Amino acid sequence: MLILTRKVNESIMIGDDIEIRVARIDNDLVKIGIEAPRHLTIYRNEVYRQIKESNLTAARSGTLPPPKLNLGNQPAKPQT
Amino acid sequence: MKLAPEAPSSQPAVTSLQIELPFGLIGLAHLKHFVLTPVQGVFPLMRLASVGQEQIQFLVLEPHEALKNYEIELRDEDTDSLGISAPDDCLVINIVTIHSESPQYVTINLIGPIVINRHTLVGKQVILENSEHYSTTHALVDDRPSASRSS
Repeated sequence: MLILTRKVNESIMIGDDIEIRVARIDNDLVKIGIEAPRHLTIYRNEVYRQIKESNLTAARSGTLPPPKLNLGNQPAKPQT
Repeated sequence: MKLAPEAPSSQPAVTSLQIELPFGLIGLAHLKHFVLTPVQGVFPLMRLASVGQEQIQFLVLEPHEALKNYEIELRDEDTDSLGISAPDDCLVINIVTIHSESPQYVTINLIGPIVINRHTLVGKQVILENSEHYSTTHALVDDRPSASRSS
C-alpha cells in the first residue's frame, strides 16, 4: 500500500478527479473530505464489507425453500 | 431524503417486474438485470432472480410488510441519480438470508436496502445514511436455542 504523509488541509489526488483531503485530526479521529465524481459510491469499509458478506450469504440461501414467516410487525430497531 | 416506508404502497408488486441495477449489488457488481416475482403462498416474500444467472436468487421483501419503525435516509446523490423525488416514487426491498432451516434462523439486511424507482424500475443497493440504527442481520425468525444467539 502506498503511504503518504500529509498535514491537515493538505490533500492527495487520485487520477484527475478524485481529491482526498485531511480535514481535521482529533486524537485518533481523522476527518477526511472526499471530492469524487457522483457516480462513484464511497462507503466506510467496515459497512461495505458487512453488506457484501450479507449479500453473498443471502445469494447462497436464495434457492432454499422460502421460510414461513410469522411476522408480527416487530420493531426494526431496539426500543429505547 | 427521509422515507418511512411503512405506509401501504400504492402499487404493490403483484406480478413480475424487470429490475435494472446498473451498479449491481454490493460485492456482486456484475449482476445488473433481475426479475422480481412474488413467492406463491408465502407473502410477503419475493424472489429477486438474476437474469442470465438464474442460480443466483435472493429472497426479498418490502420492509413495511414485516417491520415497523423502519426509516431510511438516502443520500441526495442516490435519490438524484435514481430520479426519486418523493417516497411514492420508491419501491424498497430488503434482502432476506436463511442461515439455517432447522432450527429456523432467518434474517433481513436493514442497512443495505435496494431502492427502486417505481416508474423506471431502475434501482440501486444503497447503504443507509442512518445505518447505525440497524443491522445487516436483523432476525425475522430465530428458533435457535437462546445460548447460540449472537445478538
